[in-house]
Amino acid sequence: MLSFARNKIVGVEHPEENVFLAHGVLEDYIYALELDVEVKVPNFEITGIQGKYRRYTTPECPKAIVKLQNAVGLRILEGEFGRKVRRVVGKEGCTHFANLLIECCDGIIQAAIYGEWQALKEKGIAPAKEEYLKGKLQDIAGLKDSCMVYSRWGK
Amino acid sequence: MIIDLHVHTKSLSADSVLDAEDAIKEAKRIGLDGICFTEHNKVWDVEEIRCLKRKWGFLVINGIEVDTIEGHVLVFGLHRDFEKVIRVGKLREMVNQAGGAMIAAHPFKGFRAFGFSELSLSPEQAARRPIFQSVDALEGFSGKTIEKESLLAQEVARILGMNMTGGSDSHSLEEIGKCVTIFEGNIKDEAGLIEELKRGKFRASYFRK
Repeated sequence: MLSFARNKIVGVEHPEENVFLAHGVLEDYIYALELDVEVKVPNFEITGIQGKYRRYTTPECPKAIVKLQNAVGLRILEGEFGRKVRRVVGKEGCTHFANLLIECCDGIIQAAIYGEWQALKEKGIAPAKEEYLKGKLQDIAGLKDSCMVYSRWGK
Repeated sequence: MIIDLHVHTKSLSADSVLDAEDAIKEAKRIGLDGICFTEHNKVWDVEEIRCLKRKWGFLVINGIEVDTIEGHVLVFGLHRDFEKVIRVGKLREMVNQAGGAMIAAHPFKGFRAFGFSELSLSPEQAARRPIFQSVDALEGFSGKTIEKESLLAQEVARILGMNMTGGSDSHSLEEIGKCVTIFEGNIKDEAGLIEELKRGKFRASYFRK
């Protein structure tokens, strides 16, 4: 029997060459919150973040909003990114915001990876998709060996 | 003097499997003159380091790798643990007060991920990162970065006119001494290392094959 469900939705935009925007929503039967994140390339650095609660449980929760600004300056491709977010946004603020921020940034990385491959394909210089994705899994510290299919131990 | 400036042991770094005394023995065996324990956000007790130095007749120096928002920083001369991730500017203030030295550790680990499009990071863009304004040197040779990331760090050091260090970032025995810093002067302790880092008379290199 399903006793708990949480939905997370992330949408990513690439409105300018050097900007990615992610909008994330997390919702379960207790909490509901939203996040807007701006990431600039080529550093893949968080340059802006805003969040709000739709539903929360304690009067302490809204105090976590200000802690989102701790994430400004973090670089999302760094191997330690998730751990840092869990500390400076999660532990010091709200674990749900930390979780949603990581999801938003995962979405941006995916958009960047597939966007680059598409651009290479249009120029006629794209390697096979599988090879390209395998390469990215090794080059991006935060993704290293994180996928069973495309890791160096995969097929 | 050939020193590995960046080593983690299992005593204080949860992600390391390296025993401190094994690390010293291995460093001696492969021909290093010294080793620095730079644990994640934690420092060794000064007296414990002194005991290890005495026991093995080998240069062991106390350092720390601090998590900052802007990236990892190796610090020498600051004897305190860090609970929180801090801004690199704040760390610089603390290190200045203590008379220590700071090195940007593996500054581009994982950052040459995009090489062909508008997403790629040029050395000139990379050199504008704020972290480089707060450190005394950058780690241009790291045992944990791929070649193109190391080359980017070396190019950034050239652009900024900064000194480069080398460190293995060892978490296991076979990684010790992969990259090293070669100092012109003789270093006997932490104060001596800080002095040489500030003097800038050193170079970085790969060492262990």
